[in-house]
Amino acid sequence: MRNKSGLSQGLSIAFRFGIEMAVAIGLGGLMGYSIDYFSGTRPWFFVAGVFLGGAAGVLNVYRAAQEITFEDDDGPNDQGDPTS
Amino acid sequence: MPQFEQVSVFGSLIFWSLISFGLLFVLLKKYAFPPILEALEARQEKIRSEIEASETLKKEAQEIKLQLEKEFQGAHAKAESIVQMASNEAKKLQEKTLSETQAKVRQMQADVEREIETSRIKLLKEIRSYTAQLTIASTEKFLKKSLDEKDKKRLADESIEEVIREMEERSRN
Amino acid sequence: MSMESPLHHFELHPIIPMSVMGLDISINKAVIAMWIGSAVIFGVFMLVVKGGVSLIPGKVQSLAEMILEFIGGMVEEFIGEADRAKFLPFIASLFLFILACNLIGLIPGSYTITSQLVVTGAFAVGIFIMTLVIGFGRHGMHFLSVLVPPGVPKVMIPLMIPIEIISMLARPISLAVRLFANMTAGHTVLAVLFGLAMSSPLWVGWLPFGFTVIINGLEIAIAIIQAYIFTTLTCVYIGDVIKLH
Repeated sequence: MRNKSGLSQGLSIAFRFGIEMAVAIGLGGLMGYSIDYFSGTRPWFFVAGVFLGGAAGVLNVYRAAQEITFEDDDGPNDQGDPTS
Repeated sequence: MPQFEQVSVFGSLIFWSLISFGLLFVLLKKYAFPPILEALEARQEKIRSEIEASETLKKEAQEIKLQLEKEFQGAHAKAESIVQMASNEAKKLQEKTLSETQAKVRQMQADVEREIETSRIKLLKEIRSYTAQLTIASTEKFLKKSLDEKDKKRLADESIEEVIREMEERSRN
Repeated sequence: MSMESPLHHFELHPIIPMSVMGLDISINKAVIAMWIGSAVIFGVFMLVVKGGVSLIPGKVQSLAEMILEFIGGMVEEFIGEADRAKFLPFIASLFLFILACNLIGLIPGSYTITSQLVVTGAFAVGIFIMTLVIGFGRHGMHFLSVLVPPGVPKVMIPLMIPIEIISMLARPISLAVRLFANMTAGHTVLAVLFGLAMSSPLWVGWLPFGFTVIINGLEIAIAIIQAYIFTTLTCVYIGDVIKLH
């Protein structure tokens, strides 16, 4: 059960990463923009927020990818059949 | 998109979805999951114990099979030896019977021959004595003179020989 | 008849108007579809339980057991074996609820409540709050160290904290957006194709109709995969705050 088929695993990876990145950048930008909006420092916090968001997105994608490589490392041990 | 524009339904959607999920969660957790999870656990336990049991059974069966094979082989060898023995016996018996019969036949033959021989000898003896007396008497009468013992004997023998030769010739013819 | 907007069918209209303390909680098509989906899930499970859970399972029992085993494996993998019994009911309910909502929407004329961002958002936020509660409950104030990844130089900490905050906050949003986007996209494609099939003459209309059938099959797969991803990520997030790096 834990050894998902290649297709479903690939699909789940594809679905995860793009949204992960976009959401982080959007959230960073939004947080910066709102700080700008209240303190009148437009556009500096917005710019910083977008960059920080990008960094956060990379971090999230990196973590997600790490999980997947861990799953892959476990895979052959569980399956005991590396050819399949 | 209506999902962003229809703000009026948001409250109802959030409210009902959270309430429904909460209700489903509580109901499932209270009534549905425990028996199924218990069954799963019980099955796992059962499978484990059954696998163990079957493992021991398999081992036992293997042993029994080995033993049976050994016994079977022993029995086979025994049976073969019994058959061998029986056939040997039969052969021996047959030979024995044959030889016994032959011996009996031979014996009977010998007996018969002996009987014939004795009766012949007896007969010959009788004839001899009878002939001797007859010869002596007739010769005495014929010569009218008594012979000494030596002549008597020679004479008797001569006539006996003669009679026997004659008889033998007769019997040969 | 002019072609309707493909997004038109996402609109909701109250069927039973209701309101509590000024909050409009009218029951609409989405809520009813969700109730039907939940009722089906609960019904199936109660069918298994009422029919007598036997050691030799029937078809429905095997299915229920398979789902529970599958989710149990997921919980063990991402949260930890020690917490399996504690989190399994919640995670399994979450999976079944989202799966039911996703699948019930594939029936024509029904509604997918998970194509509403506010609904997926509410669940994501709820889960996010839950992870915070679990994190603070398990680790106390030490939980704040989740904002500082291990092995980061001291100079970088002022930079890393905002990044980590954004990364933390991005999780529930991406969780919500992913489910919402997938459900909306699939249904929009289906609506467009179905609209094409209905509005074109028969000699060409069968083509988009055939596609509708094919995409419907694909949508079933996506409904299952998205429910699975939502649940997996929930497990991952809970596991992260329990293990704390």
